[in-house]
Amino acid sequence: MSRSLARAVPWFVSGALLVAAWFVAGATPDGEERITEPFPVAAEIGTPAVGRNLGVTVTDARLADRVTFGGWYAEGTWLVLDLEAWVVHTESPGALSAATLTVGDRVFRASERAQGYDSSASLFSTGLSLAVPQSGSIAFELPADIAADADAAVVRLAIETEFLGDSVIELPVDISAVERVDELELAATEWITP
Amino acid sequence: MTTPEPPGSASAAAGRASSGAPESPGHRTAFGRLRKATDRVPTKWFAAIGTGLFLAVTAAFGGLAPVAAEEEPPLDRLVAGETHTGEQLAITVQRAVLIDELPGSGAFPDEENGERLLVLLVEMENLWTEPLPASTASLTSQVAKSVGLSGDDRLVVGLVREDDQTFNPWLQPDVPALLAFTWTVGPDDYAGDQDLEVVLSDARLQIGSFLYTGESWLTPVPAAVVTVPIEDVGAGVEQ
Repeated sequence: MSRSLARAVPWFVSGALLVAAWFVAGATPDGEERITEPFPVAAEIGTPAVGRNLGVTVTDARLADRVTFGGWYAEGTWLVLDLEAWVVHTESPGALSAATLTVGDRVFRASERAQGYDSSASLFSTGLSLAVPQSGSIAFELPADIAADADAAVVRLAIETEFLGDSVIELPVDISAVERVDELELAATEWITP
Repeated sequence: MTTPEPPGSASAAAGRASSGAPESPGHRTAFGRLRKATDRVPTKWFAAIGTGLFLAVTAAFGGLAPVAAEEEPPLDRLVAGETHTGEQLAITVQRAVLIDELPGSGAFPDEENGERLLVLLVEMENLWTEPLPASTASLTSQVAKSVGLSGDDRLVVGLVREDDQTFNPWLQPDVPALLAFTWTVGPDDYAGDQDLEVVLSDARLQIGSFLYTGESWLTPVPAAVVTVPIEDVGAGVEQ
């Protein structure tokens, strides 16, 4: 009798642990979905915003109907950010790999077009440095009617290519209110002399 | 050991002791009794009973009569300049050009073997909410594969923007872009006076769940055929 009881004990313990795990999972907010959730760091124009490994100061945001860089140009509707960026802990990985503009449910990716002409035309996917911040620009190519979109717009910047499990710099932008110019020369990526 | 010895090992041991003797003492144990009980089950009827059940179930679902094949919707027939609008992309094939070479197209013909370039100018608009890569890289070539040549399943070699030759460009939501799809073709594959049939395919949005996250466009299915005349521009100073 005591033998079969001893044999049953592990089964009861396992069952009890499974039930306990079920309660723990139920008590965890949103279950597994938040494991990969990013950590937003709110930014505003002119003020440094620093996340886990990315520091950014957005200095200007403008809309332009035509952007140029050296011999390259493109017509359309462009949102151009001027910014300074640096890394905090490590340079590998330490590139500004993710730069998106979210307007409502539409997500725009920073344009790679000018970088096909000259890689210094954008800070997007540029390796950042621990010691010295770099200044430059990031441009988004947008639909012509974007300024009429009443949805909130947010620029999101991060080191990893996906916004997963790391800090993300989030800059709200009021597209209908930013200054609009006919033509804009993109700022070349440069070291900032302290 | 209080548990009884497994009958299998007992009979195996007996078999080893007197090899070749089918009647071993193990058969008189619990295993032997089980064997006797199963012998009474009419196993020879199992196949007949199974077949009968299968036929009954088949009859319940309409018998063995042939089922009408699912009718595939006919492909849209379009001409150059007409737009095919799917859920993911709006595609307008504008021109087809045969040309000796085209710097910036991303395709390099083997001129010694008479290869030339077949260039398709296609306007594409991303109707989805997220940017899409128009890329010839195999893992992300879904957008590239949505434009194909009828009867020619070669994947496009060069895929660039027409205006600034951005290689494998990204399509931003609701921002149309004119793209140049370029294939290297043999000297006799296509001729300047023929009509080219371009097959446009629609993909389906797959939303990840269970062991897979994210959304991706998969399984492109032909949806439209565009007939476009091929212009042979020779060496092609101006295409």
